[in-house]
Amino acid sequence: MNLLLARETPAFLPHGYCYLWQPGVLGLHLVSDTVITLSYYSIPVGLVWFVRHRRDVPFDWIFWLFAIFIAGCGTTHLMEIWTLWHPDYWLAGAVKAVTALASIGTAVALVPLLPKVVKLPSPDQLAAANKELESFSYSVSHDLRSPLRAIDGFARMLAEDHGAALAPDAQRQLGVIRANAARMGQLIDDLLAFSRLGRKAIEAAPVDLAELARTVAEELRREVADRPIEVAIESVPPARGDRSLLRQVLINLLGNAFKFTRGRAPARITFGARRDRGETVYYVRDNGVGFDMAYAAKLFGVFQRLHRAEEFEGTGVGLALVQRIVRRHGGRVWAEARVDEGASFYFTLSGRGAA
Amino acid sequence: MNAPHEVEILLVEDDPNDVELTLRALKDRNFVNQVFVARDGAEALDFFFGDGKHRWHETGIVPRVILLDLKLPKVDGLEVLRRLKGDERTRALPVVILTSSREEPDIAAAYHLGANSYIVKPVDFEAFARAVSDVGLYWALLNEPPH
Repeated sequence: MNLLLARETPAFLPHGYCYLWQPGVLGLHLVSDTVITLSYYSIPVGLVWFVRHRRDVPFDWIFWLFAIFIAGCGTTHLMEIWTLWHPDYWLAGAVKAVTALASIGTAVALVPLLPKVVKLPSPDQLAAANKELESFSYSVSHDLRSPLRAIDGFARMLAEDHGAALAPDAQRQLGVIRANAARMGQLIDDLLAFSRLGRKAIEAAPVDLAELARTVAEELRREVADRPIEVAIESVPPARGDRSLLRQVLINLLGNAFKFTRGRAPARITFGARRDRGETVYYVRDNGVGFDMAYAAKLFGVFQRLHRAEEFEGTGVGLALVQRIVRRHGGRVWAEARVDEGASFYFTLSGRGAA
Repeated sequence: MNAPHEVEILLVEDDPNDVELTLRALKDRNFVNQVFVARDGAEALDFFFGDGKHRWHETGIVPRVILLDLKLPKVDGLEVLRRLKGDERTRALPVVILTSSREEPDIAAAYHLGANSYIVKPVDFEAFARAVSDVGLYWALLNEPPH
């Protein structure tokens, strides 16, 4: 039986008594319940899509609870339609009971959650805090440069004007002062580059990473022309991102591969890509000194180093820079290594060139 | 302080170390007796617009170039630049910003106000000395002033 039939034979209007024997009232309830059902079913779909795409969202369980509760509400309205023609009132009651449980569960769960949620920083607050931090680190970096210039400059003047009068040991000590001033300058420059990254807008365009890797590797090779190094650049799927930033990623990853294969004859360095669960994973692999995976978590932190300065030079900013660039491209970076058996660094790019 | 008639470069810099390093860098190219130093923005403005003994339009001292730091006590560098470029008498004087700031807004503001050049001081003394002496050489010797 359907509404059309009911119109033709008003005597058989379902729930005729409740709807005042007027098909219009029945039609209004039917259409409204249908619309409510459809929208109540679509809202949980949206909520679930949201929590699955934003894995970092805090209190994601409340969204699941909302989804169940709203889906339950949708089902009660579906039952309203069903019972117009089928007297399954036990089933309709049971659906209502389940929805009631879900709704009271949601209501109770909200009580302790609200004071926590209200304390969550808003995107505006986070952006403001981030901006403050950026400008702070930037001005600190600049103010650090002035005294450094004086240290380096006066040490240099001392060496020039009185170098002849200084004992060899004093000259060596002066050299140590200057070398450390230079090192500090490098640290500040790296920190500045790191800080600037947070403010630079990403200009996404198609990038041929293999070609980029080839030029970077050639430049790096020129600096260590006397070492036996075998570089293999495999063809990789096209990438999308900010060319100058992705160049920084390759300079750091390939630069590390060059650095940490020192003493290997020959050093073997590979840049390539593979498909993994639907995404392209780019990698830089070397047969260098590697590292202990126990310290892998520290790898991408600013100023974190796994090697002593006497063994391998560096400021510990490079991989932090890599991680920041990759993340700003919506990707991930990680590494696998074994002591003395080389290291592999992997990264993905979302291709969206997200900010 | 240098004799007025020898003034060729006006250095506006508050950090005494940077003053000494700059003078040293210039000295290596024999600019030593041609540099006048103002220790803050007010002193720089006084050189051009004040009643002091350095009033440039009375003594006829015309610097070939002004090396201007941005972070200065009393009157900051951008304000000095604004006053210099806003006055008919000083507008034609070349002003080179010599500063630690690589901040985009500073650079944009300086050029907008009419700076002739913008140089970020390198930390490394050799690079710094080269930058300073190149600026001195170019503006004080190679560049042909408008008068």
